[in-house]
Amino acid sequence: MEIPYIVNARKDTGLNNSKIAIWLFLASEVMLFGGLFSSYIFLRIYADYPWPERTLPVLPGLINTFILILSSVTVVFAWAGLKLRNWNMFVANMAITIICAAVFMVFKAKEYAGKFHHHATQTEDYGWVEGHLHYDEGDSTHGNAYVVAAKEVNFSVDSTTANYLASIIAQAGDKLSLKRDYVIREISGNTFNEKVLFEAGTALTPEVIAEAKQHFIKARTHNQELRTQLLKDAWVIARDPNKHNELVGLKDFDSKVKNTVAEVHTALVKKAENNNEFLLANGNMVFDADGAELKFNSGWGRTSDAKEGDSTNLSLLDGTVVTGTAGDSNFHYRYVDALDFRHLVMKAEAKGLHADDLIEQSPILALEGEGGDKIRKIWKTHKEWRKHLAKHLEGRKDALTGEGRKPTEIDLYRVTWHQMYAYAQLDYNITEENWMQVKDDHQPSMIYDITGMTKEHKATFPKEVEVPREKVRFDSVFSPKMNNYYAIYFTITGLHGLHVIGGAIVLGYYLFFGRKMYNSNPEWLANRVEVGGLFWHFVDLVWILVFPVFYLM
Amino acid sequence: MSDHDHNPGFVQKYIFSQDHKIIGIQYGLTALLFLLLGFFLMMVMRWSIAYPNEPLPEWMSWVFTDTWKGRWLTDGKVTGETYNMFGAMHGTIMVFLGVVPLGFGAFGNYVTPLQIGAPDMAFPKLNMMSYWLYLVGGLMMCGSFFLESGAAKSGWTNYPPLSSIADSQHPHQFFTGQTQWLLGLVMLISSSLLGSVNVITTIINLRAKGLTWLRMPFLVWAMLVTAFLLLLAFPPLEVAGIMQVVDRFFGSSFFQPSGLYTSATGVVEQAGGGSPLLFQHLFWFLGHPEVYVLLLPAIACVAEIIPANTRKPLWGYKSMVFAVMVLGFLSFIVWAHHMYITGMSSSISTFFQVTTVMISVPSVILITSLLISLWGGSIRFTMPMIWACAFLPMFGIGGLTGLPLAFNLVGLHLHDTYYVIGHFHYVVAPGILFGLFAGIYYWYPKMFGRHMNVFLGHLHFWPSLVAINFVFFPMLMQGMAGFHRRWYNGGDAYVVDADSANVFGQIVRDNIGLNSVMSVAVFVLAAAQLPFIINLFTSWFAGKEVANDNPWDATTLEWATPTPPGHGNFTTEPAVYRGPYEYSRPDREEDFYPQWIEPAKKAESSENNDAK
Repeated sequence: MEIPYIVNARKDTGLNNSKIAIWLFLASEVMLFGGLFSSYIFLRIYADYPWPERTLPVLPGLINTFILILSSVTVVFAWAGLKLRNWNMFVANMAITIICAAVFMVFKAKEYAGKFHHHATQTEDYGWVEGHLHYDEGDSTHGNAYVVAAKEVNFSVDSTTANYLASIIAQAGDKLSLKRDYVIREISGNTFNEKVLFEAGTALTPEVIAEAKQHFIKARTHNQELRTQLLKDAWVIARDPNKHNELVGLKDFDSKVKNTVAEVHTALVKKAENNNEFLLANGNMVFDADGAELKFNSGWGRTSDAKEGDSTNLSLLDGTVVTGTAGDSNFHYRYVDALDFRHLVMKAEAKGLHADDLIEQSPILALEGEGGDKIRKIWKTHKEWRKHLAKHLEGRKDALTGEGRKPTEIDLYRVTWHQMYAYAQLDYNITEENWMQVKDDHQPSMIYDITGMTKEHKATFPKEVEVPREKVRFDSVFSPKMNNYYAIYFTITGLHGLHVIGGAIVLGYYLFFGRKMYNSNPEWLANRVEVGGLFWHFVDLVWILVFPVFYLM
Repeated sequence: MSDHDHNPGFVQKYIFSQDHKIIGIQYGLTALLFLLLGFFLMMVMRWSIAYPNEPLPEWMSWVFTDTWKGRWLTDGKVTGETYNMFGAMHGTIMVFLGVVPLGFGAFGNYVTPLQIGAPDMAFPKLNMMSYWLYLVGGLMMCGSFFLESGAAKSGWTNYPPLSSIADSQHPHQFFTGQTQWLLGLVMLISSSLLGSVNVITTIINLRAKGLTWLRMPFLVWAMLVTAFLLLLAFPPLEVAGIMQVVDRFFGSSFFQPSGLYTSATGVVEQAGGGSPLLFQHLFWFLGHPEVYVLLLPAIACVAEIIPANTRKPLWGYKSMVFAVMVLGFLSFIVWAHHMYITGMSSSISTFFQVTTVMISVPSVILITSLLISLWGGSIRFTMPMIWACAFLPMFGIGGLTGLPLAFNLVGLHLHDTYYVIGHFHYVVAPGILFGLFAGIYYWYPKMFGRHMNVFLGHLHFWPSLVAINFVFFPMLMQGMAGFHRRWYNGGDAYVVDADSANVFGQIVRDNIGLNSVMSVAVFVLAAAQLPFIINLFTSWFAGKEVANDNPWDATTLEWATPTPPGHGNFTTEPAVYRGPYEYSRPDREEDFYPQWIEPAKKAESSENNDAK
């Protein structure tokens, strides 16, 4: 028997198999994205930090919305082409659909790339500086590194990771030498002998660590086997009424029994130690580093103190510990393109503190150098501007409350690059007459959301700003790590992007390999395109939800 | 009609098979292997609970390599970390890799298309993919036992922030047990998504001529509802899994609150602002329907076996069908009864208490109908029937012990105690697994053309029944005494000597003796599975051959196929003329009237018509 209703609909259900399946699949997709959007609501309601509102570039998002809507229309025409048995109509429309998908992804990729290169630092007082870090081509730390003048490097041989080790060797391989002899013990029959596997002064190579690891694991295994056997012996001894009569009749969980077993076991272990039956399980190898300067991606570990010149411990994730003097691990911004004190204000208000005073004391307004001066100048101008704004809004009565309107938190405590540019155009001199031009004549156009900022814009930003790492609480590029707004934004748009790619691959398959099926069974191909088109509509629909939720709200 | 143009090679026929029957058997065998692994993990845990101060005995520890023991055991004893790892993996394996694939994957795949008279599933390739995704996901999860970090350790519920911190200090996130667990889970979810789409489509569109909705056997109904639960409840968990993966790979903090502090790392260097509670909601939104995903296939097997072995129709077939639909619906709105202890407001908890009590109504309808079906029947105590009979009271205990947990006051007291463990293990082990064992014994003759051995069957059944009650009943007692489910040493750390004034220590002392009772019972239970394993494989080639295609004299369509069914299942296109359980009809000589037998009268008249 063949599987029925592949092409034609079953009479009583009125559906063919794949159409039922795609609707079921879409139901499940609704639950998937429903879960994601519910999570968005949950995260936003419970956010204990200022939720970034309207921070995404609207114009590219809007264009993308229309691109997807267009593609949803063309996919229907492609299907109609098949139904009309008009192959060229199908090809033309399907091609447009797939081109739309590609353009959509290009915009998306550009948006993502901009975020991954945009960095922000949160100082201890919850103030934020945003900008672009200084780093050279090929610097894998992207300008965000811990620098240590290392005295010693201590490896946990069983977990040392190849790429961490390679980085250390590449940076200071010639300076590292083993501090103490690495001794192992070998047992053959009843005799053992100790030998120095690596003498003090041995140079660091991956092979040295690998060999030490082998010996360490061998020794650990041997020792555990022996200790296990001795524990078994201890139980036998403890349960022997001739040896421990006082334990007869007691349950195994009674403290007397447990203590006796532990004592007997300790004694047996000690005896075995005296007989030198244990191997030396030494999992650490300490290398002298002779002050070599080591630089690590800040994601690789944590440091105890980052202030330049202080002695510090840097623990890498694989258990390696670098001891030495902290070097210059500060954040060097090529330019700063936004300041944000909203989080600070939120925290201050929660504690009943006066936010404006705290802002004035912020380390951000005390940064050194020309860049620091520019930041202070911009902030001073901004305070002037918002004063005018507040006055202006006060005069405009709110229709509901009848009271004067107030500036938003963003207006008050966030300075964007648009404003920095506008303030420069006004020569940092805000007056009753010109303040409105900040959001009007001098506001850079939306088109720069697509083309990116120009040199002219960047010339107005604070340049070469250095944020000391010891003043920093948290830092991140604008990736999911930044906060949960970006996390859910990347998760939903990322999954949506995968759906676009997946859908485009399937539709592309029909376009490029559909001819054979068209010749033999055009109705079947039409069904497939219909099913693919239903999926495509769903992908479009998700974006129509994504756009307002993430770009406008 | 069968086997025409269809001579695939060995690999295509048995490994990358697209035939629903082979896939069903693949699912079944794989699931049984995973069940065995989950059982073994639990035996190690039970040793640690009952004998926390003694090294793991040789007969269990020989499985592990010496290096592995050196890393994960201390003086040969199970450490807390290792216990957590085994505990998390035991739960995961049993639920996601064992029972669901056995119930829904094996029986859903093998039996459903046969019972509706379909030649195969609607999408054979999808069916194959679904199996392979399941296998790969399962192997990924279990493979992580051999990683540096070990397998996942944060419980099968995988609650953050614990699970988010777990293995987070690892240079290569991909190669950690926790990440592998999450990725494996995403694969399993994708697998069951494909499977459920397939099953629903098959049931809707591939029913044989005359098989109207209310002529479908109850198993088909149960599979339909199960598939809908999988389809709609699993995606939110997939969301949670994906979000945790993003947390791990990209450093986000979906589930980490601000200012999280651990002794290992100090203040966790993350943005914070996330919500652990969000994960619990997403998890239990799946987690509760999942209970019915486990249960319905088992109850479905029992519902097929009881009519065939009592020789009377299933009592209350229609009410069972409606009950199962109501059950499916309600299972979506009870999830927060797993979360009473999270401090929810009384109005929310009232809602969930009400829905939870409501859902017991359809469950009771199902079990009562099955029970009444026995009344006045001429019961044949065949192997499957014995298991089905044991299912009823065992599942009954599981269900009844769940009632108090529906109320939040009791829930707060019993939360995370052995009472809860005892309750849901009664549902899953002697309940669901017994039902599925019944199914294996029942359809084995159709799968392989031979009966399973009855003597070995009894040797499997009776010790299992006795031992399993000694495993789980003491848990209820310990739980009410306050024993916590995550004590790796079974309470050994809290026990005090007889003369101590520590009240809690005395309570622990009074009840800790049950630990060894349960553990010994577990080892007996393990031994009782040996006859089954032997039976399963020896009967394959040495069992008693079936006398005909319908060895149980049953009425549903799967017995109209050749034994074992060939590719395409039916030799002629099946048609259905009546309901699924027409046993002992007074107007028939035989005590069963199969769905596919054409009524004699109609046949005559149609011949007459043809003649005209």
